[in-house]
Amino acid sequence: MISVLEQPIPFGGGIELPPHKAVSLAQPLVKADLPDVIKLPLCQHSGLSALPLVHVGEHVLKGQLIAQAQGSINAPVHASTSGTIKEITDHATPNPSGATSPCIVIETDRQDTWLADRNPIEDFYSLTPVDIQQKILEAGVVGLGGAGFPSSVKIKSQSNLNIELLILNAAECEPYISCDESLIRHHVRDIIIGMDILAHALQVDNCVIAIEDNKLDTINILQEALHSHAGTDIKLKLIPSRYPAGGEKQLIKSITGIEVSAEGLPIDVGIVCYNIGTAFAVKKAVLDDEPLISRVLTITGPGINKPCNLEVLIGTSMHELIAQCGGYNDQFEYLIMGGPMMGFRLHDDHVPVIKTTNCLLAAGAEIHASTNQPSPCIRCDECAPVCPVNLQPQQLHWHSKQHNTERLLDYHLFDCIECGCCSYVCPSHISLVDEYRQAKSLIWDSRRKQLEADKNKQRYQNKLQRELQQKLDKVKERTMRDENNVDAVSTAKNKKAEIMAAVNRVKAKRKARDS
Amino acid sequence: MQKVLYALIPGILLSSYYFGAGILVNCILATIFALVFEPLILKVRQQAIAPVIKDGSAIITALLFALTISPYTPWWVTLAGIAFAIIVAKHLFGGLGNNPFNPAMAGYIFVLLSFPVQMAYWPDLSGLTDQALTTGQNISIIFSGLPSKPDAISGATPLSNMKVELGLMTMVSEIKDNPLYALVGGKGWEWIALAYLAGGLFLLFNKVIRWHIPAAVLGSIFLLGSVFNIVDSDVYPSALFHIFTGGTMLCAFFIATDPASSSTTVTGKIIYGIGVGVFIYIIRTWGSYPDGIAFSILIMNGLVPLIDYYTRPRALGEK
Amino acid sequence: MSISIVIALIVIMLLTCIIGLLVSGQETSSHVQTLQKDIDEIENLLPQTQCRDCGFNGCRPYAEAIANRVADINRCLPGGIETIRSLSVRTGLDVKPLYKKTDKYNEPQIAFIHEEHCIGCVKCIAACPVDAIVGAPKQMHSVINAYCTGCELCIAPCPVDCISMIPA
Repeated sequence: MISVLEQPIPFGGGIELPPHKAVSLAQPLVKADLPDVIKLPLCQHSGLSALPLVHVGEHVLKGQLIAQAQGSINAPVHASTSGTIKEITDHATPNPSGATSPCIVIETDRQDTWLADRNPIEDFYSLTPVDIQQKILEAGVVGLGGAGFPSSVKIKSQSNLNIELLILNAAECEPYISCDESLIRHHVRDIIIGMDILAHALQVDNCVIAIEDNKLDTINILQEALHSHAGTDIKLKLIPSRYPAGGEKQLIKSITGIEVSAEGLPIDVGIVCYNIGTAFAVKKAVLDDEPLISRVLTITGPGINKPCNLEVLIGTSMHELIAQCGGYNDQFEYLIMGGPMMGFRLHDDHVPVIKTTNCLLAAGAEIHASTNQPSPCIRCDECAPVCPVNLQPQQLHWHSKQHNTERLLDYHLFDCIECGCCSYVCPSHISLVDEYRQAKSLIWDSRRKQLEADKNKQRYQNKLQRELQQKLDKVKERTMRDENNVDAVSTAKNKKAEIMAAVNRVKAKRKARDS
Repeated sequence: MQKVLYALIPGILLSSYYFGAGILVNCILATIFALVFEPLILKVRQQAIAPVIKDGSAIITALLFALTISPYTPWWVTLAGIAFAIIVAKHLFGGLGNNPFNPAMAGYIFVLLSFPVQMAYWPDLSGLTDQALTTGQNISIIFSGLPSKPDAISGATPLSNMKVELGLMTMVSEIKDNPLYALVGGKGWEWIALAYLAGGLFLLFNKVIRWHIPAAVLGSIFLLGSVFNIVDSDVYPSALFHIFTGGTMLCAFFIATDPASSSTTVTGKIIYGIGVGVFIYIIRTWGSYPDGIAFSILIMNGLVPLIDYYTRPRALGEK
Repeated sequence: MSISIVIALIVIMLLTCIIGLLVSGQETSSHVQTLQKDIDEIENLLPQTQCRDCGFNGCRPYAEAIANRVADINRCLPGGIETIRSLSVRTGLDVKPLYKKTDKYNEPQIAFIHEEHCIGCVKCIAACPVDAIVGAPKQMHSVINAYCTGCELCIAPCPVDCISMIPA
């Protein structure tokens, strides 16, 4: 039985960061302008790419399914607005490597016409959990907090596991990002209905909304809304504002005291976590029959003229949004997707907003200290106390320099959530998290290679075996033939002998008669 | 690293006050040598010089070395010690942050084993004989060697006197009648120890060092000292004597806390500190050297990788 | 006095005999096994492309040669410096550059059969060490991209030169 702690506890480690959120929250949440072109990557989530269902030149309507999910962990893609399919080719998408991936490009017709046969409903309690799961799956809802894990999967696993607690994560602990807060301020009722739907789908009655305790205005709004709320009993928990309080496992530890291991999922201990934005998307998907085609996005940072939150159609090009926010100012250095701690640098702002884009941060010179030349690690041990997973960053640094896979695993490299606390506090300015990412991908790579090598070896051995068998067969065949020959020869000899014997007998008889 | 320098200042000043200007001269000499050897070896290793010099670790090494040797140490011993510390103990093992052994202590052991005679003479603080040297005399000792009769100007340190007298079966209470000893520790030494303690507390409050290692070093010496003192106070001097005499304070706050050569985990730090304390007590009490700081530090330095590995903290959610 | 020396001598002699027996037994019984284990472990470090670029007739023979210290660890071209490093860790031999320079494995490549020219002679199928080519006599052959290791062993046997390497 999971009990929610009366007073949330610290998760251990972490750092206090200046929030920098007020500036983007000062503006009301507005819809972004309708773009001319929408670029929809086929893979905006964790899992396999979706399969395109449309062809070039076809006219699509807003909300129309244009790419189908394939595989068990997957999400479909819908047209964000009405228009004509221009092309289905590789385009640059927002990812750390700057690699391209297949996208469906829609030229909008500026009509923004919805699909005709939508079917909004009023009462979701008449739906079964399976129905809701199906609706969420079909709407392409993925976790909007960052990882983009298809939301329906968590409900699907509910059928064989007993879920006891539903947590709605409104912690949003990274500096600058305020899209969740802005969403709460403007759509608090829809979020709470979304939570009711999720609670119904998961058959849970223990529900918690977790928010950082320094977001006072937003907490008030939530409290008021929860006060007048009649559905599921939802508790509001204020967690200490300390980065990364909103990390899924850190949040669970704060609220319940339960530690979820690196290999495990919260669902293993009977907890499901959703982001606030996901709850909003679920409400729209289930009640309004609206697929996930837009999201709230923070555009902020010292390098932007008018920081704000926008409701943006998925697939809108980032540079258009930047332009709507007054463009870059002269402090601008580079653009980050995500927050200053865990976000990654974009090489180009002509990439589309995807389902997991929560923030565009126009970084000035002061955001990333990475411009400082790193000096050697002196094992000063500033990094270990701030690690929210209780790792030894300095040892990981040492062993990743040495490419010592065994030791890296001993020191739980793969438990690292890449929150960036260690890099932030490092007095030697070592980009520790970058090193860990690199070490992780090297290990994955070598594991993949090992797997390939094993398969090669297997096929090679099969081939050797087969060749040996063929040789043996041939030898056998030959000996068989030879044996047959032997038989033939011997029978011939026998026959000759018989004939000779017969001849001899006849001769003998003749002789006897003659004499 | 700057803060470490500030924290050393009271200790340096008080040492110079009691032992004479030789301490200051040694500090300056050692710093100069360190600042010569460090760029030299960095050049040989083809590495950037500026960031490593700016880090200040060479100066700390030099000062720690200078503070552990006697003010009568000839300049060339300091030269050899610093050369060994910077070149061998620090840079041959990979330079800043990669040195498994504390460079200052490695350098100290190197000269202690190589030049035992030159290292043996300390100023007499007992005040029995009137041989307060002038600054000029002290400097001339450093640069042109000890006079032909060094005994005339030098005396035993409290720790070495204690060792000798105990060897002669004298009781602790009788030994402590010697004016070499004061209230708890050695005359002068106890004030120097207090100065280092103040510096160490300054470092603690500024979060330059953490409490685990100093607490473990002092705690283990205190515990061992108290236990043996209670068992037989005639043979084993009090715990406070051990803490306020010799280099215990300097070791606990400045030497054992060297991040590169000490343990990094919380449990590891405590084990490391206890190890240092225990070895100091063992060497002082039953070993053949009067003080055992450098040996204790080096022994525990050698064990750090092992300690670190076996005291890995439990990761979040790990069973 | 003398009796204690005798006792000490006897004890030491006994100890020597017992330990010696134990150790020698260990040695003889496990010598062959350690070699086998060596070969297996070294073979596991090799990429198993069976390309014969090392001059041996496959990965296993090369592993045997390394284990017997008759071949150096720098002969695996597809494995490159990574394989040399891991072999160095396993064998204790020094890391050194590859025994010959090659561009063959800079970029991952796979074989491609120009099918319009293929006459279905099955010679490439016989040459492929990892069963990456499918086809039957007088039928067109084709490379299974995922299986191809880029060893180029199929190129020489083709009588009509219809196989070329393409980027993977």
